[in-house]
Amino acid sequence: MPALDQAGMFRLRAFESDWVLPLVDPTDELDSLLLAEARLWIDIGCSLGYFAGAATRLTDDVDVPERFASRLKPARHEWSDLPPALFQQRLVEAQSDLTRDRQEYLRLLLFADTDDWERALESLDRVTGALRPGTQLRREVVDDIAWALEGAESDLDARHQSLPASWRSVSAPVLDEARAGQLASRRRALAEQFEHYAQAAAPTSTEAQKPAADPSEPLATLGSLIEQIELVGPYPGTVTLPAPADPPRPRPRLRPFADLAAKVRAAARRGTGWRDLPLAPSFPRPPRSGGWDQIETLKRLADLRDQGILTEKEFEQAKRDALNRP
Amino acid sequence: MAVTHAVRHLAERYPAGWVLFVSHSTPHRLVVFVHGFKGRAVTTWLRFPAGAEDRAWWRESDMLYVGYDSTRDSIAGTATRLRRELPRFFPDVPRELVEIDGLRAREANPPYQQLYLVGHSLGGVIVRRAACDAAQEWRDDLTTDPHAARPSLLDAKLRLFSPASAGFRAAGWLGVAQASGFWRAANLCLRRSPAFTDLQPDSKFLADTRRRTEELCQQDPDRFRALRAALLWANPDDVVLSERYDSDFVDDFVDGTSHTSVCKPTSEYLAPWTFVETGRST
Repeated sequence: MPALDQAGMFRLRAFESDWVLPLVDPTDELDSLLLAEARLWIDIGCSLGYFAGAATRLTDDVDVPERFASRLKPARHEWSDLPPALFQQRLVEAQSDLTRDRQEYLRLLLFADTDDWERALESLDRVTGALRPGTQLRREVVDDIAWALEGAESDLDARHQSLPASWRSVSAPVLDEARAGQLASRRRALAEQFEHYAQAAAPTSTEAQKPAADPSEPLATLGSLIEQIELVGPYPGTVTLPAPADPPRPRPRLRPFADLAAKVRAAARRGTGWRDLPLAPSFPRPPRSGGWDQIETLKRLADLRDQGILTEKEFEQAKRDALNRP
Repeated sequence: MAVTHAVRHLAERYPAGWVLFVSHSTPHRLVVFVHGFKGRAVTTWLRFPAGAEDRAWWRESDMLYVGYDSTRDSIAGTATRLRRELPRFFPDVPRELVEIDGLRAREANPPYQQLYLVGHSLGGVIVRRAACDAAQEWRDDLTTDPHAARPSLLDAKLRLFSPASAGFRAAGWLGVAQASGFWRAANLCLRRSPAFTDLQPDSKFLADTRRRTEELCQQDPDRFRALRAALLWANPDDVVLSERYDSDFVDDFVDGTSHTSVCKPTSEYLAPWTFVETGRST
């Protein structure tokens, strides 16, 4: 086994090579944020003895975006006793969390302009509105909303609350409360759509009371429902979803932080030392807004009615259900 | 807890999403892990590296975690990628993965002596398919070239945790979703998966993989002994059908584990480490 410092330096270079280097020329704000997060991982890893070497070549002098500065200051007292091997586990989890869908979710939630965000929600609404047994969905349609389904899920939990990935962990304070509320109501609506048809397809109460009822029957029923939704394509001519009102436009290239890449390159050239970051206690969870979800649901239902997806009668029934929901 | 391995997240010239744990000790073997449905390359197996703390076997192992998108990639496609890419890592690990800017992860870097393929659930089917295809390909090559090189994959030992090789139970897919905390409506994504069709209990894909594997083992049990898998099932397992191939070793069950937890060792549950090392749970 190489000397401790040698092993720690190798780990640092490996981290720089695999995480930092691809971000040195950030193509969007999310990349820049991840670069700032990487700097914190290095800072903590060095202090715990996981990484060795006082200087890192690539992330020195990278500014934490001001908007995220308070979220990117993990509490030193909470990780100062973390064994280096556990630090490694957390770091691997944080890197594994950054799937394609997850990055798209973070990008849309945090950095997309209003038009793009609303367009993304509209895609979700169209799927929800069209979802019923026998619906044909092209795979690309599901791909298009995967950010809201799989991307909104995270493996990161409370164990990451004191570490640099806390800003994107499931237990983190809501990143963008308004957008998070809008997305939550959409996800709930989609789930309810499934529930609705699963209940409709469920056995009657008499049948359900049969003594030999399979305990997995509700799941099987839902599974059967899902199997009735046909996914087709990617060949043309199979879309049964209503077309969007406006043709989708290419997502604009997001504005990178000014001169960030230049600063990183300058730091790399200088090879200057690592400067300490100010560390602050964990940030508190913001209060949740009360009727936000309900309002969003009503707006969405009205949109669906206006688009002709819901009849007036269906709209009224859905509105009553939404208003009566605790 | 000492740090026994360095981590390399592979990209560019290597398969994206694969992760290599490089031992700081001289390695004797490469252990390749393939996760199941909705799993992640490393997080499914996150506790395994901790075994190196007090088990020399794991300190002397590099661990390669195969990443793939289980809701987008097909079983055959992932199996083919595994079969094609593995020779780049075994028996010799690429030098650039264990040496950066003159810094070395370890003092010596000899070729590996052993190869282990470990799969969970859908990952077990991928491992079986890769091994079966490697055997068939080699057998075909031998008909035209009697000196065709034996694929290194056929020297592997197969260790499968609750493999889905007989398919999922009726509610299995949703069981996976529930077990993994996967949001219910996101099963829409699940339905999109090409594996959805392949892992139905009556699927032709599963039947073909089983038939070919059993035939190859029967024709030449010595040459194709790598196709014989050691199996460790959860009990109860409400996600997959617990059925082994005729060619497999006698399987084992662990009471009180679930489909998800059967492959996750802890300080109290050592069976996953022991099973990979020896092919037996105790």
